[in-house]
Amino acid sequence: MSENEKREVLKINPIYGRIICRCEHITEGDIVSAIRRPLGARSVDGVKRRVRAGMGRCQGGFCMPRVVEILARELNIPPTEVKKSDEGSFILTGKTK
Amino acid sequence: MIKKMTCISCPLGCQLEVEVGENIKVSGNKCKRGEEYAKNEITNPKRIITSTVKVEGGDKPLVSVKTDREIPKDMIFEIMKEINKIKAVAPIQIGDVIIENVLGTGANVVATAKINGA
Amino acid sequence: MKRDLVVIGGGPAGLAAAIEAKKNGIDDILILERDKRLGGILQQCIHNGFGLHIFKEQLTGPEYAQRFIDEVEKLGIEYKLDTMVLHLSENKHITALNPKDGIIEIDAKAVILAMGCRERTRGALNIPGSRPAGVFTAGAAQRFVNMEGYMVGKKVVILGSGDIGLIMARRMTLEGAEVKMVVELMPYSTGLKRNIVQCLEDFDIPLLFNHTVTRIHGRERLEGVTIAKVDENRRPIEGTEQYIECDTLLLSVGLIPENELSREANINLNSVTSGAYVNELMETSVDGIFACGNVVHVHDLVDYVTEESFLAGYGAAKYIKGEYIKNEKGFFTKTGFGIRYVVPNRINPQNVKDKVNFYMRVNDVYHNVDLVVRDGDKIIYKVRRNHVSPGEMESVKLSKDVLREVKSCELVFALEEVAK
Ligand SMILES: Cc1cc2nc3c(=O)[nH]c(=O)nc-3n(C[C@H](O)[C@H](O)[C@H](O)COP(=O)(O)OP(=O)(O)OC[C@H]3O[C@@H](n4cnc5c(N)ncnc54)[C@H](O)[C@@H]3O)c2cc1C
Ligand code: SF4
Ligand code: FES
Repeated sequence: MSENEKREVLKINPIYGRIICRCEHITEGDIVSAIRRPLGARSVDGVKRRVRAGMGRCQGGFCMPRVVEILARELNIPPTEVKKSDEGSFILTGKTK
Repeated sequence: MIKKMTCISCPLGCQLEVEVGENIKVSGNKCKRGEEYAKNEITNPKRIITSTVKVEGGDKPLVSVKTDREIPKDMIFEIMKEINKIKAVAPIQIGDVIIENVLGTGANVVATAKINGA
Repeated sequence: MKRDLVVIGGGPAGLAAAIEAKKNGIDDILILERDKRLGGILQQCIHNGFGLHIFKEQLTGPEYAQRFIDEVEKLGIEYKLDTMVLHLSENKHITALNPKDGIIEIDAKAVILAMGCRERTRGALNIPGSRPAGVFTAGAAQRFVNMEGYMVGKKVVILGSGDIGLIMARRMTLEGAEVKMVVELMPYSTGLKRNIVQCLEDFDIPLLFNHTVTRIHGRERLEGVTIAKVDENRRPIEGTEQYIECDTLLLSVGLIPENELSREANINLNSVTSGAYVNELMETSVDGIFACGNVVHVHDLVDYVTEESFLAGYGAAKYIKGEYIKNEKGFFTKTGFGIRYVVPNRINPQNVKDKVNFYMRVNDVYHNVDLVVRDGDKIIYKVRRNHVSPGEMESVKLSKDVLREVKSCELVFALEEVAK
């Protein structure tokens, strides 16, 4: 999106104002829409393929934990069930407490 | 028995060899502090523990905590069990006591971060 | 919007800089922080060991940060959270974005850069093999474990013996994971000695020097890594490979200043530190843009970050009030034998308040050396060091009076062998 388009979208949905991937300037809105659209993203790599979050110079070091959080919320699953890509590629192994 | 350890009392980090027996003999230290350090480490090693405790009704899921004084090193894992059992209720201020006198060590587990109510 | 001073980043550097600017008479200050709270990386560093220099006590990261947050609140300094700065121009125009205000455009009289650093991932990129889940930077793992309460694995190998890796070895052990080893490419660790003892030796975790990870195994989740010994050129030696079963690999291969905005603003960057060149008041090459903390060079002690940031805040205040003397007087700092870099890079003694702290790192481990500062042929400072290591930053304090006497155009910082 261009800066002008962003300005317009922002008025309707403020989550387009929250940058999640700082390297690629991808907002929470971009990620949520990548998950909610038909055949939407179901994994961290799925989000990465659709909107580039995680493709930046830090290779997801910064945004990956945040993308996991958003996937869990949007898919209504616990974060421990969020996958990197296919079945079995779980990211977290349990709760600390 | 000879134990090897690194003195951490200054950046030099001397490699110490400590003869443990009736008398403790220290070698490898470049100054007196190394000997003291080694003796403490053999007779009564102590550490601060830092970890997190689950929070109820807060704006964050966890609060970070520490023991407010050093505890015997060999009790680290027992104390971790206590820390993992407990829940803290928001709001929490820095310094709030989460566990008093944990396992009779005389040390309290206290909060190291501020948590607001949800 | 017009502002006197905008501080980018609300970590320890940004907070200290804002506080000092306020105390020096600047009222119109705005801190922009992209996270949901102030405090920066310290909020996830729940271990203790912070603040020994400044507060003379051992604080945890969140406690250290809170002291500065409380001060910012008390002084009534304005800040915006959840606000990411997207662009910065040479004439100090800032574009930021947040969910509440949308896009924010600000013209500032002065700007302080305090964006901190990010973790290097280079180590991972060069490791052949599959890309399964279970490979994390140590900082990302730290965030999961300490802030969100999730474990990232059960059997762990850590690549790199920097402080974050060491700290995470202990954290994961305390939370019930088995940390199999820490693998270090170099023959020494860049981590603090105290961390090696209290995070590894306390728990009998082996630290393998001159080793690296050469292969990653596993399709969905990590199943193991191959490690190997390296030669003097840091290349794996054939025949020394060993398979280590693990479900998690943490990368702790260094930090790098976060300078995308600085580049955009045409600020001159030092290729050794990856941070900006700065002068005696922490001003960058661009007029009115200052920088401090990990965005200038990576620090291991937050106390030094605080000291340096007070100076940047003081400098920005002088600049805004028009009390900052700009002329060609003064000299540059240069590195000689054994010194990898020194900060600051340019000194005009006229602007120095009472002293300058020079921070530097050596390029290798040395024993029994003198750290000397030379003005031409003249030694103006000399200190004996029994042991120096790239992992531990050195600092040299020179007073205004000494700096005013410097005759040549370069002050050279170097190590010299101790004359027998
Ligand atoms: C894991 C770890 C362990 C450490 N352990 C110790 C220790 O034991 N003892 C010790 O003394 N020191 C320790 N340090 C060092 C110390 O924490 C750092 O030196 C210090 O936090 C650096 O402060 P800073 O403000 O420069 O950077 P940071 O703390 O990284 O703060 C930078 C801030 O800027 C914000 N930001 C960045 N870009 C933007 C943008 N574009 N827009 C808006 N905001 C932005 C970030 O969100 C962040 O809050 C440790 C550091 C790390 C990383
Ligand atoms: S023995 Fe003395 S010189 Fe050696 S590390 Fe300990 S305090 Fe430093
Ligand atoms: S923040 Fe997403 S790739 Fe760096």
